[in-house]
Amino acid sequence: MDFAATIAKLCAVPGVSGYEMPVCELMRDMMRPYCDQVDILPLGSVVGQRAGASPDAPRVLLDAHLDQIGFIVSGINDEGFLHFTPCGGFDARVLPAKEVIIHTDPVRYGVIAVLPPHLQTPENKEKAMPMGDLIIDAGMSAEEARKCIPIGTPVTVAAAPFALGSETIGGAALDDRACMASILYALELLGDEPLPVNLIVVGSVREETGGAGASTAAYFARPDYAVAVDVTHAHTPDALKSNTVPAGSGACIGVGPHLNRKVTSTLRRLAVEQEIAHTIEVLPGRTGTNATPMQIVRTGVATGLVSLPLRYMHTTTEVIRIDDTRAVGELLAAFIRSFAGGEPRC
Amino acid sequence: MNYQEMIRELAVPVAPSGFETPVIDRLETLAREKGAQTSRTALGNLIAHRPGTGRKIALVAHVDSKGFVVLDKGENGFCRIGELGHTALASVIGAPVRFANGARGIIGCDGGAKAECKVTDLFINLTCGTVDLGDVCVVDLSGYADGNLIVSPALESRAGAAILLDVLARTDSDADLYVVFSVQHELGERGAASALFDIQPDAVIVCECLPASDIPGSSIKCSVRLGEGPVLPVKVGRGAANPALIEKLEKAGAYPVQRAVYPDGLSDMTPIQVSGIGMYTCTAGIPVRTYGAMSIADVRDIGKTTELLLTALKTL
Repeated sequence: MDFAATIAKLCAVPGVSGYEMPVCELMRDMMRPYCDQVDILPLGSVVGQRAGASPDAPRVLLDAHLDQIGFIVSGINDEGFLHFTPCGGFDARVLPAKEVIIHTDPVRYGVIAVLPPHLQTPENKEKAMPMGDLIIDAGMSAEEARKCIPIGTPVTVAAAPFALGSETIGGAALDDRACMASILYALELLGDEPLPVNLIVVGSVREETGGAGASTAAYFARPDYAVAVDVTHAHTPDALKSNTVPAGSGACIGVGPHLNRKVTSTLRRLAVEQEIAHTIEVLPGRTGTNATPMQIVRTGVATGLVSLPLRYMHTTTEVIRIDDTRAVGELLAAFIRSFAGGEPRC
Repeated sequence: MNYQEMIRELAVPVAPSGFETPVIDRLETLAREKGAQTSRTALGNLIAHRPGTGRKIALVAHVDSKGFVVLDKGENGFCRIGELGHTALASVIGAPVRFANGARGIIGCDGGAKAECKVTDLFINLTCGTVDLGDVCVVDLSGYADGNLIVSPALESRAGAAILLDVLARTDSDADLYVVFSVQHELGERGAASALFDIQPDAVIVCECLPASDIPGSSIKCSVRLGEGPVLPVKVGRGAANPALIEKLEKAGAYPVQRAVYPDGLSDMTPIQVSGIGMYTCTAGIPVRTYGAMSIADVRDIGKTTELLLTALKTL
């Protein structure tokens, strides 16, 4: 797989949390070659299913979320500036002066307004603008804006992926499109071989706003096992080592009370046996990923978490490594194949 | 329907959140008179079914109002109370309340009226009758109508219920229609969360009141004005309406609707849309100016919301 090209394709289509239909339709098309059936559920989650060698084989679900943090237009003031409401947890400090895409048809552009240094007071210089005070300049009069930008229009920050060195990619929405690339890579590795599981692949919506896309998809697909694939914090010089994992350390296997021990142990054993680069992340409580809502759907799902190290989460310049993305895909494929030797065990 | 009269009638039963049976009983009688088959769910939601051969559509309105429950009978007729739903407490100090058994009293505050108070500061000075632990009451202010305006306590829940009764009476669509009068909205939208699980409708429209922005000092960034038609919220708190349904509703009626975004707030839409495999859900709202114990709506908005729902039943 050409990871840079796949990630660029996935990131080129918007999917603000709650308003994901464009990326859902792309995902449906990208899943079809690997699946017998692909459905889009009422909230928008894309569910692909591939039958295993036996209909009685365990049902195993791999999930990455399709939604990205963004905004919706919540009002237009009398000067034509747009108020907006965040969908997901953006860092307000990084937003001023960013170019944004307003997803009308056709799209329009805007910039998030900022006070120039010349006009700032000492107080302005010390403090970031709170999210509620930020506004978008779409270069329009109030009359023009009210005519062509409906309330509720999704907005994303304009930030196409870019290469940093040979193994590193930067950009917005790598959380979690890069992980979807890992799942697609796993499907590519599995090829046409008969599967020891009935495989379910979910591109879920609304992870950034609570996880309803994954829980409804798990309700629909009735998995026995699930693995959430999401990003985690990669180390930077200003971060605590205990809160991060090194970039380039491979697939990050989550360990903690919310994660099924049999699934976790199997992932660790497979990574060691098959020499897949990996590291361990201990999560003492809620995982902050779809693993948490998925595991309590219906009568419960044995759920694991595999994460991709990423720097600068929830900014427009998230940074991941391709070798990590590849390792995540390899571990997921190994997990699916491992069911040939029996179900996960401690 | 004369909405003023119907809302006044529905505001009479003492039916705060979690204790809705008195208003549910009245709604069941009215829904049956309009030809619907009725049933109740374990939580107490009332479901009025009007069978049809078309798509299965659910309309949902919550019927519970905010209120108070007696926690401690105290001495000399001074009861300590807890909240049922969140009331702007400063707005009810000095207000009369009534209980289902006819008891009455006035809400007081330790140390006199304050701008900032906690529910533990409040008490009810019983003036008439006796109450027991767990008895519930609502603010007992009288509403009125003048011109296009309806001023009423409990308006926020009873206006939606009145609209859905009118839709039941007037619809001639072939939709397989389920009208749901939901409970416990004020306690975290608990009635709505479970009401539709067995019905599995093709689409859901929630009918509830939403705050208007045309009052001094409003923090709402979009324009929502009384008299300018139904509100179609794109987002209320964590609930995001289905964008395609909003567009269909916008195109359904030949009159203006008001799109809105509420970053905070509660809507029955939020739990409904994540029930089971998820549901296609949106809200058709009535703009209200809400002032704690009393709210104001425009009867033209209520009429247009009914028309919008009647048209939607034919076009969805």
